[in-house]
Amino acid sequence: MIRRAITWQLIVGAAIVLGWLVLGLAAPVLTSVDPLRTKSFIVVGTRTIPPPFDPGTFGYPLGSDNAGRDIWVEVMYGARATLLIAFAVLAARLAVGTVLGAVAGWFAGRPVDRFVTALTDAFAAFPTILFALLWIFAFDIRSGLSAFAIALAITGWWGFGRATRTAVVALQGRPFLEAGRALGLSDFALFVRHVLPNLLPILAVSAALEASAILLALGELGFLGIVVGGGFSIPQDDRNLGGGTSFIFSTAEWGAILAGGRFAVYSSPWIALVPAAAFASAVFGFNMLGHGLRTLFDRTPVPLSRILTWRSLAVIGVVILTARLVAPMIGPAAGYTSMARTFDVGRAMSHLGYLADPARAGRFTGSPGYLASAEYVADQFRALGLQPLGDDGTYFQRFTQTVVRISALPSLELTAPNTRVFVARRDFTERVGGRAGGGTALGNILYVGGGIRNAEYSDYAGTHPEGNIVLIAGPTEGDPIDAAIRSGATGVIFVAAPDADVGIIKFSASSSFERATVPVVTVTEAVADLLIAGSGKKIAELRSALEERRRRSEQRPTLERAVPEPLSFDTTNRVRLSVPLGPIEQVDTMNVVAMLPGNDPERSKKFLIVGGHLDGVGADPDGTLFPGANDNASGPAVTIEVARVLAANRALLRNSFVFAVFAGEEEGLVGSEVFVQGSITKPYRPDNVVAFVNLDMAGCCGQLAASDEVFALHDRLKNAADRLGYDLQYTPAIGGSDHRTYLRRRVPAVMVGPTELGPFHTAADAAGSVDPKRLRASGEVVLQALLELGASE
Amino acid sequence: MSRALVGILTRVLLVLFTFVLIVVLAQLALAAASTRAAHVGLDEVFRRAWEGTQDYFTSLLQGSLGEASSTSILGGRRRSMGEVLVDAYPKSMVLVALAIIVATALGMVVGIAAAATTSRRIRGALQGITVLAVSTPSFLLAILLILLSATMVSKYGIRLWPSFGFGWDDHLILPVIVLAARPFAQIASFTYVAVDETLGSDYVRTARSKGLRESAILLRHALANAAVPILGAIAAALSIALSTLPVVEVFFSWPGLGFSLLQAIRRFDAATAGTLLGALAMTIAIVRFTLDAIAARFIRAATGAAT
Repeated sequence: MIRRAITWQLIVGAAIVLGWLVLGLAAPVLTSVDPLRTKSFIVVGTRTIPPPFDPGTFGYPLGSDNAGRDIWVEVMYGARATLLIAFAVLAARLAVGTVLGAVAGWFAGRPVDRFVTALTDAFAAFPTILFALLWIFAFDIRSGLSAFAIALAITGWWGFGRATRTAVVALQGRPFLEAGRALGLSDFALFVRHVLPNLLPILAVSAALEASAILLALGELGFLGIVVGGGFSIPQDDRNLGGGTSFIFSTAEWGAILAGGRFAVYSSPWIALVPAAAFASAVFGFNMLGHGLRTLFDRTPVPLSRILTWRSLAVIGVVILTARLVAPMIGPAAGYTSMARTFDVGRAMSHLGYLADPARAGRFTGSPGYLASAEYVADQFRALGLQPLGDDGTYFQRFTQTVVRISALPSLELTAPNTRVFVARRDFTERVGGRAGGGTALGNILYVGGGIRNAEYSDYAGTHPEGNIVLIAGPTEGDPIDAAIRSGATGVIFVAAPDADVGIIKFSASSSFERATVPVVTVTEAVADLLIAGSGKKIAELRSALEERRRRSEQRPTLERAVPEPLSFDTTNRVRLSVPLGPIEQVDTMNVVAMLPGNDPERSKKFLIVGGHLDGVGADPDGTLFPGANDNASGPAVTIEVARVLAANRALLRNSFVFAVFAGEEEGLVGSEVFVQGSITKPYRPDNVVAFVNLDMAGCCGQLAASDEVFALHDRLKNAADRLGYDLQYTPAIGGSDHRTYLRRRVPAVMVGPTELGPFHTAADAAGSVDPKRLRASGEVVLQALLELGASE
Repeated sequence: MSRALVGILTRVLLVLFTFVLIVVLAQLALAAASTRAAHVGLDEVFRRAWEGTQDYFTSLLQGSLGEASSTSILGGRRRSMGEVLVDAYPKSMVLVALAIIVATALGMVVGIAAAATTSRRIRGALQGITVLAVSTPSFLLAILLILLSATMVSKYGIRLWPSFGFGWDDHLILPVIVLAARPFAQIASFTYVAVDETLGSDYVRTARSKGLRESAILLRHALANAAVPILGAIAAALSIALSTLPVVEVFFSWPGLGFSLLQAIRRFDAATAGTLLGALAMTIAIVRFTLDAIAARFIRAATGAAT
């Protein structure tokens, strides 16, 4: 009886599925190779050979991918990740499908059933991959596994729905149900006790077949470049002037390997072929398992339903759930929370107090206030007994950078007859760098919308920009200053939106200029309304008209509205605009860097870096100070305190830790660039950096957040925050900070910062505006994450 | 008479329901996807989805697919939506239609042969092919076929077929093979089960005892009664083929609907994606309606013959 029920399909299917599960789970035991370890070249005699390496060469049994990772190891580890994703999707589909199908089957023939059946048919008609893709984007691909599980459940629940409905309908009217009813069991009890257990065999069969369908879908999505979390986007342009990003995969997952290999089918076919074959074998295995199980249940109906009762399944579920719930409370990660909580916010606040003190004068890079701050940080590192990493056994890495400063406050005034003088830093502020230079401009104001000028459309059509000053408020495109210069304007005025993230602040000045420059300022909306007074128009209305136009065009544009009339107009209001700029200077400045070596002979060769920039925007020529307490005395202050806690627990550290505070961030990430370039000949060169945690604005405003260029790192920090009971959000995409320097080199890096910018780059960014609770949260979360990364097994 | 009318009405309603559901869900997903960077609330997402749906149906009712633009109107290449649709739609639909025709023909032949043969070995081989075809992911088949053609060219100098690109000629071969593989397996296995069942039934035995030729039994009796499940399998095969479409189009650089849709979704271009998805939904709805109608005729014929 039993021997007839066990078919070769069942054996083959179970063998393949179990094989992959064992390979996936035992991967760390079966191989000592790190699935994510890249190799940039292999030297053979006088030749250097770049990856991908052929199968069977240099110890790569199945070859390597484009980054030199071992594909066989990747596929082994990938079995774990991919099957986990498949099971998560399966669970989601099972939950939705079974409930809906059971309801429909129980109330067969009633309106509920008709509705669910119609829904089932409709969803079955959807093209799965396209809809899954759409929903993955809708649920935000960054949220990783959950987005995939929900998206694939939405598109595929109907399989279980149909199977369950059919099974429940078949059970209706069976004698044991009648008997139960006669015994006075309620519908619900009857359903739970007698119907559900009888569904288990059919659900097991469906689950195996669904698993193969899910794996197919995951493979196809991977083939289209849609993979679960775990990759990272790298800004291709280091100066943040645009240029887009490229995406690198960093998870060992079959779909991701496939995504990396799909464009190299001719040159190195094994990269795509190996994961594709893995997918095919797993799909085949689950198919066989499903058919085998069906035969098994058909031929031995009685004993199995006794083993596979609802209760025993519930017990398994409870065990898994408890294991999951308890895991974070035991294990090393949980042990670190008490250590992370020894972060002493009092000490951090006192560091911050020193750095943000008016005596430091805003720590403009290379200024006496900056040098004093650097000395202070070095003293703290010394007191903690950290190893100096700077020049000649000091903590200082000295270098020279160029800076440019305004020699007097900028001015902006309406000339006669409506004379009116505006106040710098309250009504307007200057921009310096690129096409925005120094000098004076005198001319009529003309409003030019978003200042767009390209082959098809010009905001300048019908206006007279030559020798005049353009006012820009509205959605823009390209470089509006360049368009203004090409149109002959002598000055540019931007209008800050009332709800903009960045208002009237002291912008940092870049010392690199284009050949042609004009003076540029940003004004408030109120000032802008005065500048176009007499035109009968309001900036807010013009801006919202243009924004609405843009929105409509992006949502559902029509040909008739394709090239709209610009809203631009000339005025007779005359304006004098001046940005007095000093010469480009060379200043001597320094980063402050220290190290805490790890104890593990192998792991200590890999480095975790934590730090933030020490410099600020300095002071204005009139003496106004920008203390830069949150931006960014908070970063170095937290770094010092994190270093103290790590140094106190140094016996636990396996990886080596580097602490770095940088100069010249405001002028374009100068200090971190110098540090990374200087590290190329050192043990902590980018290849050996596990992660860089950049603390920028760690003490105030909005909610605690981390950047998401590297999903995996954001995840790490989020888990650490969860363990400590904090909430971690995403930072908004505004400007860049020092972590970009590492991201560009494909080193995982993350910025810990706020969701809102607060009073940054204003005189109000003083020590009083920093929230100690927030500073503590930043410190504890970073500590927890660093300990989990660098201390645990 | 009135019962038949009700049946047709129900089917029309179901088809409309499918179409509207696809459009609404697509608009909802597109609204959520395109606003995800902007940190807007759920109400804004629903508002946009509602607007998009309204826009879509009004323009549909006005019969104007002259809706425009693949990128922003203020730059980039401008193409009218009609243009995009007229360009991409036939390219995809011919591909899918060819694949379904090939899959149906081959699948039915293989399925009937497997059911009718008396040789266990042939039956096993045919079933093996089916199982392999159903388990082979489209991308694996695509890679293998491309490698095959590359090897044929480099080793033997034989050019089998173009490996990628668009053309109404032998360029069709590879995409159609890849697209047809799994639908073929689906149809073959359904045909096998259905025909096998009818061949064992009483009336076939009766027909045999009447001395009818085996081919007549197969065609007139077995196949006619197996038609309904086979039509169901074709409908399922269609949705498999449509699901695989983007993978095939991207891999073979076939500038069709799936390819354009993928680009639109990646750019969060809700207008283009909405229209293309709407066209796809319309096609699915119409094809399903047709298949349902044919199946209904078969059912009526069968029940009519019984009474």
